[in-house]
Amino acid sequence: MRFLPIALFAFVATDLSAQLPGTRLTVAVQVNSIAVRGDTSNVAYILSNSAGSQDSLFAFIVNAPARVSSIPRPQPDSVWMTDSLIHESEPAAFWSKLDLLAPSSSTAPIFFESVGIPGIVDEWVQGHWPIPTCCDDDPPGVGEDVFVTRTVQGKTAGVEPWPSDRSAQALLARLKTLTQASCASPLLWISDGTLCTQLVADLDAAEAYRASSAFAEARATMDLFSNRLNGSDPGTFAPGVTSQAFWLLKSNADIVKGTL
Amino acid sequence: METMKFTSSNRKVRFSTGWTPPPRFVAVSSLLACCVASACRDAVAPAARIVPVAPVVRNVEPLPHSIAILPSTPLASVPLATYDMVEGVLVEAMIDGFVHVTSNVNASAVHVNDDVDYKGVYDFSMSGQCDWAATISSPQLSTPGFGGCQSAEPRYTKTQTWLDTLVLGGYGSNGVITARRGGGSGDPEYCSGGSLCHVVTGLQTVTLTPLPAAIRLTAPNRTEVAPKTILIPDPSTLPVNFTVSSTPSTYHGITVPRRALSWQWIPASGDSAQSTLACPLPPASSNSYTCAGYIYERGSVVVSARVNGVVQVDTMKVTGPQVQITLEKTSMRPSVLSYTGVLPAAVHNETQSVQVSVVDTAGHLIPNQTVRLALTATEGSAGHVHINGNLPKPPGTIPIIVNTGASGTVSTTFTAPEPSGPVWLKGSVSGTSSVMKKIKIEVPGLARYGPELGADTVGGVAGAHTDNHYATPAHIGRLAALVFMYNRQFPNGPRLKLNDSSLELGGLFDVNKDWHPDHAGHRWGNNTDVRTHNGSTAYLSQLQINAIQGIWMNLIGRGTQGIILHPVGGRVAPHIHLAY
Repeated sequence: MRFLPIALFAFVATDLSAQLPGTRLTVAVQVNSIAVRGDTSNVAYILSNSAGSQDSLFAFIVNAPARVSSIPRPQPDSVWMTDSLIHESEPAAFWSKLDLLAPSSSTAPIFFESVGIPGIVDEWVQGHWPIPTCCDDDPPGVGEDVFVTRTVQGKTAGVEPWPSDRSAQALLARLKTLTQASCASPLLWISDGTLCTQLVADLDAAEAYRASSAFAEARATMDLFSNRLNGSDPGTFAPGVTSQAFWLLKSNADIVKGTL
Repeated sequence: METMKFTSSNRKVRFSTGWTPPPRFVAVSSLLACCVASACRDAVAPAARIVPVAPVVRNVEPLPHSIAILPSTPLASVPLATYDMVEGVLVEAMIDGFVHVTSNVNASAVHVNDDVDYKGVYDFSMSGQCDWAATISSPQLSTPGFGGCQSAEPRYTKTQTWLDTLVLGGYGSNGVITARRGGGSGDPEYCSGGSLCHVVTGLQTVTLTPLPAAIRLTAPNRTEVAPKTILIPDPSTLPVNFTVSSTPSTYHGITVPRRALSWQWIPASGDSAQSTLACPLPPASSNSYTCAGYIYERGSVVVSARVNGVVQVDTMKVTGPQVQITLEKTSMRPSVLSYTGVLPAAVHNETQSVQVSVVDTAGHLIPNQTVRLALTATEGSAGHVHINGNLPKPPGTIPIIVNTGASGTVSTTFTAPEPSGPVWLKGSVSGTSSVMKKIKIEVPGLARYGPELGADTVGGVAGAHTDNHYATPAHIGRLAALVFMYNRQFPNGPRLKLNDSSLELGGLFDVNKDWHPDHAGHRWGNNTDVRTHNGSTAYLSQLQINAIQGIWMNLIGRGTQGIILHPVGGRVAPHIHLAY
């Protein structure tokens, strides 16, 4: 397992006190692992509520366009509630820590599975907001979409449906796009520009080998691509590489290599 | 014409003379002073008569004939018919033929060598018994009975046919009619010399012929302005007494039996029934054929009755000048009035246009009529069990007096009340009829749910609102999802207690029985309370409340739902209020 002790903050609020309860928090969404077995991808996250948060973390939602095939309740399961839901016509994985995750706290790994390929997806963190109290028995004037009013949205590595073209050429092209997105704003999951250039060059070389049927050379190039993401010590990432970038690109590189 | 009515235990027997006999009948008329056959001694031989041909009335098929062959055997009994009608069946009864008696010379009680009719033979040894007499036996009635044979020589008669009009059968459930033979003579079976004292042979035919009668519904003391049509009565003369009779109503002075089976008032098209026929059916063992009707509008009385054993239907039309009310719609949603706690945006009146006119018997508009309008909400309806004469259920509003003007029709506006349930709009013109229209105030489409959701349904209050779990199907679906997810999360936790949603037809849920909107959100079937405490003791943990919050706000119908917490110490018992 690789671990990068640097949390990537999904959002950093400039003035948390001015925001609605539920959004006054900063949560690092760390990808703890991505494992691909056959057609199924398993993604694990660790959530860390920062010390500067005012709200405790209540819920975490990850877009799962490939649908959720499994989302076990983390331990202790008495305080975790999991489910899948539909958000804007797309499935999503849902975790709620019923006993709340206080600031300066982290969760154990939580994970879900989908039949799909690792990709870049939306995620939302929701702070706990006290239920409005009312001295009279009047209903809320209108319903409240907590995804709008009580959550903070970001991006993370998740699972998306397999593309219709699963050829090595198509998957290489897709990985190049993911790499470029990881290197570019707004994600900036890889902050080392030189590394980004090398990664893209590796993919171009692998494609050239593949096109000339030099598959061994192509596979070796994909190994080089993956190795560039590793840190100097086991379980660490290369400098400037986040957990999202590492697991997203590494897992996709393995998939591409398997097609060559 | 000689006529006599005889009544015994609700059975009527009519005897008459002077009829013209039909070709196949030789009729007799007999006056029997008593019906206990064995006690009768002074019977008079019947005179010949003619049975009139029954009129054919409206093709009513009477009950079928019943015929039995009565053997000469003493004490023989042969079934004739079963009339299990309380009111009985009016029949022409006939005993036809003779038995032949041949007596031994040594017989001492009876000496006959001749044909003997239904009266049998006078027997000195048996204190005047009429040996071998024939009779028809019905509950509480035996006729012509076992008496009536003549004591004077030759001590018997030879009338070919006995014929009479009778009401038979019925009397609770025991309606079996039989033909019966009386006993034999007081002589021993064998006389001296070893021969039979009497040899009796021959048969008599016993026939019951139910008489045809067509149902006739009348309203005595009311003038029929056309066949089977009366005018709407002046309310001061109510009720109208409707009576079932028949055509013909009697045979030989005996009223044709009849029994009402059902009464129904059918208002004329477009009118709602304000008229009533307060005529519950009598117990099975008693009879009824009248009904007192309180008629206020056009329509028809429909009665189903059994007339001489045959079930038939008749109607009587009621017509006349009348107020007409035309509603824009017969069902509408309740209004929301302004009170503290009610969102101003929700306040609005539900209204509809109402057309009022007065028409004559021919249906023509009568201009410039002053019509009085009155609204009445149905107490005890739509889940409001509480009835308080000092706080009548609000019926909505409408002008109490309108004038139909030159056009003959005036348009006015009805405003729905806040509580749901039927509201009756009555329009009346002084001195004539009135009409009532029902307007159903409701939130349509609400359905009832219960513990099948997997939660306890609580909060019904006897004498106030006992049935408090009606909601829209969408809301029920959300509640079901909530309960399912909650139970999955806390399989050993306390069951959710779902308190008030809405009443049966939605609308105002006046939890304090005062027609005020204390429960303002519980009108539309999309708000439900979940108990958090039992009294002041916490029933749900904070973890469980958080789960409800997370489920309701994140997983169920996101973007439409709301949630409110009523904490301990508030004006109302602590609970979570779930909306949408």
